[in-house]
Amino acid sequence: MSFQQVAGLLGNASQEANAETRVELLRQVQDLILHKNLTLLENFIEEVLNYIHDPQAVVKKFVLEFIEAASKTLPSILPRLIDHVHFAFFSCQIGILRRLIQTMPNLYRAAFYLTCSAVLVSPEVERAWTRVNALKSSILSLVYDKNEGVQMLVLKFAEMVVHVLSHHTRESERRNQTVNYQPPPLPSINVPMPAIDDEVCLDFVPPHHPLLRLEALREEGQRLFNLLVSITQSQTVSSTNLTVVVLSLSVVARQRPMFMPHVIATLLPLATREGLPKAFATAMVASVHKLLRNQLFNLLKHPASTEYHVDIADALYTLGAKRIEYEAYLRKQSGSSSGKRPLPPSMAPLSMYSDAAAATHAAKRARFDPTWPSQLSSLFGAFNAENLQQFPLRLVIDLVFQTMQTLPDSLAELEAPTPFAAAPFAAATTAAASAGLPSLGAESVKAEPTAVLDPVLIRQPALKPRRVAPFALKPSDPTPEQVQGLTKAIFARTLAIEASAASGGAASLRSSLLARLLSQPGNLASLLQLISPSDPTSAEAQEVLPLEQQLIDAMVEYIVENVRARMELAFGWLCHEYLGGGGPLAARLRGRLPVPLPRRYTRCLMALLHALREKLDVRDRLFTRIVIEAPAFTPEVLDLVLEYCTDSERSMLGLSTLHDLVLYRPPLRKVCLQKLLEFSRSDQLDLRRASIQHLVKLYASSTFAPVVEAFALESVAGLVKLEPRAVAMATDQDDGADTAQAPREISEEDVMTCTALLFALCAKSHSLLLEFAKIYAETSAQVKRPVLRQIEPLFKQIGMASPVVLQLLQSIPKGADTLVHRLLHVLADTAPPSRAIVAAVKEKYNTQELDAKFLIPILGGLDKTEILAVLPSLVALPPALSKDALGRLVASRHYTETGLLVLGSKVISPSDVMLALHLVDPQRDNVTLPAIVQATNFLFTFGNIYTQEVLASVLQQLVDMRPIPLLTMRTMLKAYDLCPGLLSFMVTLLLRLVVFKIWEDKHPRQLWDGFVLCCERLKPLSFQALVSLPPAQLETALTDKPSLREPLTQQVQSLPPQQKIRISTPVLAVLGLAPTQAPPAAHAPTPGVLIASSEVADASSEPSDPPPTSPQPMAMAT
Amino acid sequence: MGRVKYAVICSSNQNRSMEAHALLSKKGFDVCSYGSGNNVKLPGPTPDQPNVYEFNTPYNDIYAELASKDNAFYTGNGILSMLDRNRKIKTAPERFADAKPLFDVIITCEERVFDQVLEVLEARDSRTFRPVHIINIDIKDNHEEATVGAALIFKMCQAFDQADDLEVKIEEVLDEFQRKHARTLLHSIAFY
Repeated sequence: MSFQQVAGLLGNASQEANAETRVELLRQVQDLILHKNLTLLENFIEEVLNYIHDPQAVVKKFVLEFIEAASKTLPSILPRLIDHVHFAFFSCQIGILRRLIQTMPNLYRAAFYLTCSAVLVSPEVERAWTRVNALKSSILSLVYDKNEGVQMLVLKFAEMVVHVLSHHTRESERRNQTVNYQPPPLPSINVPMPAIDDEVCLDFVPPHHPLLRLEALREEGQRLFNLLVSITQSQTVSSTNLTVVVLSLSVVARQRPMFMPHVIATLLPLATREGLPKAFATAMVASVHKLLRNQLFNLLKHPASTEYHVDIADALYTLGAKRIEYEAYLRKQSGSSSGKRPLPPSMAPLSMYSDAAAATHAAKRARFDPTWPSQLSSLFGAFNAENLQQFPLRLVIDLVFQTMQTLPDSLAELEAPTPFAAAPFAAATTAAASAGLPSLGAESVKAEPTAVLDPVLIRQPALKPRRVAPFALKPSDPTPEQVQGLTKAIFARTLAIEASAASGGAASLRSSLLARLLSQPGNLASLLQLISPSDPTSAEAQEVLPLEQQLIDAMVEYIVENVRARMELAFGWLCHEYLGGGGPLAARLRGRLPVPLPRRYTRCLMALLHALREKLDVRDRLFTRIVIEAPAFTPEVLDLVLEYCTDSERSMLGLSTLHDLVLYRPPLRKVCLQKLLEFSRSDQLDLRRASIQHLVKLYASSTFAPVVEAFALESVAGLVKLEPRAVAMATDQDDGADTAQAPREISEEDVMTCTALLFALCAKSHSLLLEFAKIYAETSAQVKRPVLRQIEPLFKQIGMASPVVLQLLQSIPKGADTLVHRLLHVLADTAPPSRAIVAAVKEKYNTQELDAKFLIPILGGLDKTEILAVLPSLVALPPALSKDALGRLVASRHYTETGLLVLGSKVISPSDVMLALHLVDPQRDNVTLPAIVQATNFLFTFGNIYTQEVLASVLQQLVDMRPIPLLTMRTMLKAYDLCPGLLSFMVTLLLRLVVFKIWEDKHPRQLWDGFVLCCERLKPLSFQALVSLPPAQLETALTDKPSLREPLTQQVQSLPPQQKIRISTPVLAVLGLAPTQAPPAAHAPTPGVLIASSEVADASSEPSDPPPTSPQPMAMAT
Repeated sequence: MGRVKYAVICSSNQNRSMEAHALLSKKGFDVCSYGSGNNVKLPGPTPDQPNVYEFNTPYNDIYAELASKDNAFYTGNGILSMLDRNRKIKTAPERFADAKPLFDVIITCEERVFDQVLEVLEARDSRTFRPVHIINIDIKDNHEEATVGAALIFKMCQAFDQADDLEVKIEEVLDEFQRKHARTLLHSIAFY
């Protein structure tokens, strides 16, 4: 029937035009020949396989699916399938290639299984194995394929091969937790391969297999594992395929624990953003990290990961897992593993002996049944030596021990006919003994078997006094010393087995054992009390037992020895102590009542911390970790942390601990934050700085910002209100006598103490500056000065661009203008002033809220007309300020070199400045003349700017002005002092002045005096100007400066006649010279001598000085 | 590749997954829907008295029971109309852990469901090595959000269908989707 059915289906399929329907028909064939009737396979397999040449991809894919299913069902058929598979590899359709790769894991497993199972490898099997391996290599070479879909499947295949090419171990995770692992039965060709979760692995390889070399295969597995690892480090891998690899590695680690360390080392770096390819988008990172987190939790579950728990926990925290989550996970794990984990070897055989699983189950149930005694007695009826063997051993053992408890102390009481007591016991002990139970009880029973067994003997009075050994099974009453000795010994042994516990996967068991041993003082005390109840230790029991202290000391010492590795142990212990050794645990957790902390807990924690203090580096953050993660925080710990803070060596650590406490321990937040705040006002610079750093970090959080801010403002406000004495806070608490003394000066240091925090916050939150300005306005000048000095770095941090600068400008608190001035000043040094700031300052200046000094910093932002307009006000400022302003205007080159200020030379030239100064009108502009003079003098100090050329142009313009500016002649003199090279140019200027009739100008007196002085200074060249004066003016000049007369006369006399002719007669007359008189040539001095002598004669004369009076007598003499 | 097989999963297979199921089947997608919880929970008279049903309890039965309990109340909060919509799509809510078909893309409606689905898939043995993408998009469990969510899921599925090779394009599609709709998605992969 089936045969025809299959033939019919195949016939239909061959006729069918629609590919989908064809596949459907073939699928029915597959079901029939693979699952319903395997014998038909032989007949039809070729027919089905031929469809691999079908033009339609969907049919080809079906054939691959068929091949996969067939090889799974019947590995022995693989040699006939493999050629068709190979063909698919060269298909150019990506879909078919993918389907092939997807088929490969099962094909490879089938080939491996087949090869292992063949005792004598037939040529077909060998060929199949070779071909599958060749195909495997080809496919694995696609691992870097650009098509991510292909890569994904190749990776999954690689994972599969790693599974096959490695050994199963006792710790391999099994999905269905069945009995203990047993070596696989010898594979057989003609049975279906085990399902995938039944391992196909290297354990299958028989020794001396002709084809399979165990070592080579293992190495290949390792290579492929390394390949998977390398993918995680690739920068080009897609997030999907990274997901695949992470999942694969996680599974490999759990099923093949020998890879666990390597897998953990590979996965942990991925927990950070840097560990992932740069190209990953945020969401991809989130997905991969989520996956990683789940898989790390899975790894935690595995016993082989025990020694990496600390590292995994760190990575989990990085990934955002909470400590609670982690601990809950560990707890859950240790709870469940006690049930699930394979029994230790010594226990394992027990269950294997029981053939009646149901009976074992019943026995287990019975053990926990409170109605046990009554059930027991009803069971006794069924007992006799013959059928005892049929009962599960565990039940029998329980029975024996239960019976022993009900036995009387002396044999005499056994005389009563109690067959149900004696008989089963005897039978049971015999059975137990014969089962090889290595228990003390069984041994001693065996020692005297006849005594119990023979009812005749029991009744014999002669034997009455004999003690029955087995009944001494109850623990003997140990002395307190023995208990102590035993406890210590247990403790020491448990400490000593660290390495073997870790490698055997019992690390967590060990740590909880130690914790319990230590943290059950109650039990220990009550035990000791039980032993020696006469001790009146009810009060003393509360105190430390010497033993207890010894144990705690030993534990602390042990932990400190290698603190990083033993951190988990320490936390486990502290948790136990915190829970009061398990006693009040339930109460505390259920009721959530504030049960007082066990005193022992504090003692243990402090002991540990103190020990670590000696051991750890002064900067070791482990201290913080313990303080933060300890189950409960106590005042003693806070004291210790504060002590660390004030200890100069450890203050960094102490403060960061305090910071973390604020963050992570909400109940302590208030007190710790307060402490941190107080430290920010400490007079110890380092402590203050460090605590401020932490506060600034906290300030970023909206939770703490208001508190920190309020404190900072309050301490600044202290500057206003407090007497200088009280400014320096806590530091003076000790020396109370000192406070009685007279208030000392508020020092720079005091101001810094109070403002440091606020300044630090202000750098983060600029708007605080407004608050500060208000407070500043009220402080005394004594405070303001140091503040202005110290605030400079803050201003630089705030910068020109901050909106707070403008806000402050728009509403300057009364009294805070110096602050604003300083701010503008500092900002202008760093960057050109922004338009908005310039506009704001100008506006304030125009409305007369700000005086001219505020303009100085923003001069760079003003244009030429504005500068010219404000120049008089700038000149009127106190000398230091006005010099600063002028310096900025003309000495701009200084700023341009640093690339910051481009001013002066672009907007207004130095000569313009000089000219503008000359145009300042003392009356009109309300500036004193000396101020203007000082300003010009100041400009002259810039010798590199006011060069000869610049000065010449300035002088030229001055002389051409009408009216001539008041200070022109003075400037001329000054210019001559600076640049003697201007001499001849100046003489031409003097000549021009003569032409312009300087004596008739607006300021005749001052200018004339200056003119005469000039002539004197510039002699003898200036004489030509003098002689071109009208006689009246010459007369006045010579009267004003009589010292000129003689040299001038001599000069004129010495002139050659043709020149002398040009001098008008009235002038000659003024000089007292007859027009015809020839000059005495011998007298003619050289011009150089004249000039030199003039310099010596009148080097220091000031143009504004009144004309010198000394020449008067000389004039009379002439 | 052939037609993409979708599954949409929420907690109870009532609101969010069914909303999306309705829309996607209307648009002609090959879609199934499931719940990931242990049982089906519907709002009751107070938050602490939910109506709890086994999976596979027909929508029709639930409808009848709730209508008889308090017709006005369950009409008012939209539960009845939701159930009515559901019973026209399929018989009963189904549990994902019992789902037999193999999918190409599974879309979950909240992170917890995403985790549960991954757990279920991981606990199954990999027998066929067929990859399945699991994508989470957070949707709040109310009628309005479910409608918005379904529309988003539809857009995502549309984008998947337009991709010529899902395996290659999926990251690109998801990335674009996230940017366009300002949603954060989770993405993982498992093998059947």
